[in-house]
Amino acid sequence: MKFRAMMQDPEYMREFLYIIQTLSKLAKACVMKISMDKVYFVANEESGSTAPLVWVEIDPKQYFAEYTMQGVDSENDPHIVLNIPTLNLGTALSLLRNNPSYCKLKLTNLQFPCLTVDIDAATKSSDKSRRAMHHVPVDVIPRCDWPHFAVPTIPECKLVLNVPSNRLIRGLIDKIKNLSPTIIFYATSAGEMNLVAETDMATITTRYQNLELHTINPSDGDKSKEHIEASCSVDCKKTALFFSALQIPSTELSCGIADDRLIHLEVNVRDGVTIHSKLPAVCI
Amino acid sequence: MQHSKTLYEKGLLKNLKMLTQRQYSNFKFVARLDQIKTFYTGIKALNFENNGKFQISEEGLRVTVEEGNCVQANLYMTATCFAEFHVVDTVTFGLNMNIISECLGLFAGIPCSLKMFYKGNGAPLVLVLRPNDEPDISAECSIKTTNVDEVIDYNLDEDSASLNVVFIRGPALASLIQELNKAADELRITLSPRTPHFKIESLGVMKTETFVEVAKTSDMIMLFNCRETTSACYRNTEMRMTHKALAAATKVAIKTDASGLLEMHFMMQSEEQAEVYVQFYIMPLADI
Repeated sequence: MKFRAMMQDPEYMREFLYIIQTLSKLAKACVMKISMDKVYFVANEESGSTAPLVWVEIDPKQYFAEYTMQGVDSENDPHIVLNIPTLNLGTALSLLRNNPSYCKLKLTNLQFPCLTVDIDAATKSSDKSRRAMHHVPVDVIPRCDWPHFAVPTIPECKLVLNVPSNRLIRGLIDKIKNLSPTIIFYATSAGEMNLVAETDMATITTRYQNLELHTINPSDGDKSKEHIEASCSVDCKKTALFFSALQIPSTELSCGIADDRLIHLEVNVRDGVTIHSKLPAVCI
Repeated sequence: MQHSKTLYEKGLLKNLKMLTQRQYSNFKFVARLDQIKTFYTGIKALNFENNGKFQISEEGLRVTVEEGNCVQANLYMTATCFAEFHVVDTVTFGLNMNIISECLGLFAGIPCSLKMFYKGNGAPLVLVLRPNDEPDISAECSIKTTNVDEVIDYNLDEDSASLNVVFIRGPALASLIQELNKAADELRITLSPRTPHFKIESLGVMKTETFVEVAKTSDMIMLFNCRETTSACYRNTEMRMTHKALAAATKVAIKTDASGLLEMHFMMQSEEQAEVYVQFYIMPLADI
């Protein structure tokens, strides 16, 4: 089992820090799944908590300047699956804020398995750089348990719309969560999305128009209709938590709605780096 | 609520009562603001109690919030503050302040315009919010209204010999109050033609005392009109209710007389330079 990765672009490194910080706001521990062509981080708090299921997909060939891995099963689809405490990893990476020149990630075995973070960063007081090394203890998940740690699949949604400026939507859902426990996402193929919240005391509808249509999968009954519609009601606190945890200043969010089943939110950080979340439907 | 009606037909909204305002005609009250910032600040300043009373007449809008029989807060906005203002007779209704405050803050921090509609007894108050630079986004909120009782009219006798009036710069008073002991139980405010001209004392549980004195010649005093010494104690929890209004005020007027009833005016500079102010009446504690 071997894993080494190196980043050199300061922007990528800062982004990586933001991604880990986002995860640490959602779950105490996340699962890191390393394979030849993808690296996944999955934050899935135990059921019963309000934290939504969030996973991050990274294409290592685009993201890391150097990337080598040797999985357990070297024949077909070699993997490494680790359980990492998010907060510790976030602290170890916090030096990435001050203009690092490189960041290396390495799977090491000291007395126990560790993810070693090796960062070379500039110091403010002198022109010499300093090098910091952190060993974050991790659990290596044995092969027999892998089926329990499968990466969530991207669900098929009836309508997927691109919503601009998630700064607005974050504030909006944050206010609505104080008024209503659930929120309905309703979208049409005409590029309109409505966020609807209704209680005894107030009715609040927010309308987004002229949104870009990303994908459309009409069901059999819908094909004859002029506009395809989809709606789903989700837990407002869960949705708000996803948006407030999001540490990355991104501009575009794509929102997929599968009728009365779930909502799939996807933030495209850059080519090859995506943050996903699934929000299950709730009954009113 | 043209838009919400289509949502009702789709079965996404269920409460038809909240969507009664379909036609533009027959409104008892319609108003438009190009910038909601001042109105939002005013509503937030009054959000220490849930029951708000709206009274609207030709002259403008008055929102009243009362805490027991000890504190009354009023937000006044003259009709000239609004870009459009139309009212039939006098309209009064009750509203949950927390809900209207959350609704106005939906697009927090972004310049927004607001339209308000009210159709009469039993109908909801409808707010339509539009961010100024995002033409594709809008929000419609309809908030349940209730019937209200009469509000108490507090008055200071304008002709009273002991009526004392002081105008102070808002930010200066805010930083002054900040320095006082926040855990204090009571605040004593003394106004006097002799030194100390203006004095605020805080009295704590452990007999701790802090006080601030301001001379009438100070830069922060804009007007000082005192004839007799007045001094009264106020509960600090009640004084704290004014803090949000104080933080937003450019100018504060403090009025009191021998009875001890404290009247405070917090002027908010609105974008259109029109008069918007929050007024507080606070009852004194009985001297023992």
